[in-house]
Amino acid sequence: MKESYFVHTKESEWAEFLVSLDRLERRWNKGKSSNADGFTDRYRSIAHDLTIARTRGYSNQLIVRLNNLVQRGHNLLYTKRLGFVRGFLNFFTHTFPRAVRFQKMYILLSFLAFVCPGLGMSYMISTQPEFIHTVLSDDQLYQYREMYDPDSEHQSQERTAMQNITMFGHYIFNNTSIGLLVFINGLVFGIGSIIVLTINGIFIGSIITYLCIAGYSSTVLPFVVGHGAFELTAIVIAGAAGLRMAKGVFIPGVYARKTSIKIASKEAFILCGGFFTMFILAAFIEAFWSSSDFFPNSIKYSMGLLLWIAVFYYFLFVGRDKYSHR
Amino acid sequence: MRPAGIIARGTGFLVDELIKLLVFFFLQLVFFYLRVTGINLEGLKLIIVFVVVWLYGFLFEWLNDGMTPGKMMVKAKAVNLDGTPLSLYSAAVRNLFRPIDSISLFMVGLPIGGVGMPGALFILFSARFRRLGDHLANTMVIHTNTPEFAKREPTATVRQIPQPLKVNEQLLLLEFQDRRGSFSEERAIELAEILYPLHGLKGEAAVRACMEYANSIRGVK
Repeated sequence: MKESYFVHTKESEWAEFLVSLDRLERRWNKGKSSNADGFTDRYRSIAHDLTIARTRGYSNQLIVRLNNLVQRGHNLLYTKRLGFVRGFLNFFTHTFPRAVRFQKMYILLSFLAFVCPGLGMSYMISTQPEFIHTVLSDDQLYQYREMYDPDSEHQSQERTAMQNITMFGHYIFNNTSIGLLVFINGLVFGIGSIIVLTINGIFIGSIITYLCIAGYSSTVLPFVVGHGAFELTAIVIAGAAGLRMAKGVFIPGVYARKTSIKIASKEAFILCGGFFTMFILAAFIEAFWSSSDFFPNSIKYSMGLLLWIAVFYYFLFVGRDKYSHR
Repeated sequence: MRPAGIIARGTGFLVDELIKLLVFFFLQLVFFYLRVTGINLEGLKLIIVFVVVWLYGFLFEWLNDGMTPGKMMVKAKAVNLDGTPLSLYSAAVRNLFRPIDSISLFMVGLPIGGVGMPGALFILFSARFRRLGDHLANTMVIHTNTPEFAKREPTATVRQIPQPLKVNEQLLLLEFQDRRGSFSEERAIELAEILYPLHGLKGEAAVRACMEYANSIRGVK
């Protein structure tokens, strides 16, 4: 059959398909495509026409035209449509906590890399306070003391709403950047995650211990305990994601390296989405709750305890159902 | 689907970076002005900077059918490997790895370098011009415009081809006819005269002969 005769016999069918494509591609019609108007049948027949056109050596023009029709039909039929809200909820009620439990070895490793140096440093400083000078300079120490001194002037003033928003933006930017740094370092240098985690652990451990020894525990601890539940766990998870990525890149095991990297990125990405959200939550709490002087310390401590319990409950139990063993 | 190569993608990338830069510049101006007038919104600025730095590509590609402004300008869009629109997941992954793709090798101390070297190398050395983020997210960037074909004149004249042609030779003739409009007169004659042994004609007549060969291959209604 010559090309022009082929086009002549099929032309009307293609035109009809084009009309239904235009109709279905409009946003509000998406998801309503059913076979009621014979869409899938026509799609099949046009995919067949395309094959014929290719094997019979018809012109490139015709093939491009048919290919476009088939591609558009294919997109309508095969695009995954999990509603935004459902996808979002599903991520936080199932995917994320399960992923954290699934990656427990990486979480453990990251946790140790973060907490051990911090505790070690904390112990050293509590026995020999001058040890702090290996971590921080006198200037920095002075700044921190100033910030948390219960007797200083600014502790008695409530921050304004504007300042709270300012700090919110500041915390978001800093925290998530640290988290992403931890993650990306894992990918590029493998051991980088551990280094960043260790440095952060040492820093946080020593500064908190130092301030407590200096007698500022009444301002430091209530401040840290609330958002720490999210922030510290998020750092550990970021480290775990980085390590998972490093494992995929450098120790592919039974997989080809390319496959191994793909699997790793898929798994690590779930953790990324999770810790990203946790950092934003933490920044919110830090800006609007932790720094507020309105509540007495007892309420802050109990709220902090509650948040820690909630976070642990979330990662240990949420998303388990009778079909999952994780 | 036609994958977009390094020139189109590089142009799109530069346009996007330029837009971000302009946004930062504008932000600095506005917030500087506000600060001078006594309103301190430093936090709001940081939030906007954060969104622009980390979420620019992701939000555009996710909500705008795989197209950032830069990609719209060069008429390209990111799609999944099977051609379906990007999902939330694939848009996020390919943008999460953007910092690694666009790192300059100067920054890691190698003597060669330039902006976005790893991404550029990946694009140059992979089959469908995919950068690292594309490989990990199973996506690619394609041209959105379709090639333009000349409208065929409704000439019904057919010329018998003196000897049987192979399929790819026939396709060449069809292609010549389809793309006739994009050649200059001289170029068309030059191309048509390659077939001199077949039709034995020169100049305008050779072009007509080729068109009529193509008609006979395509068939006339």
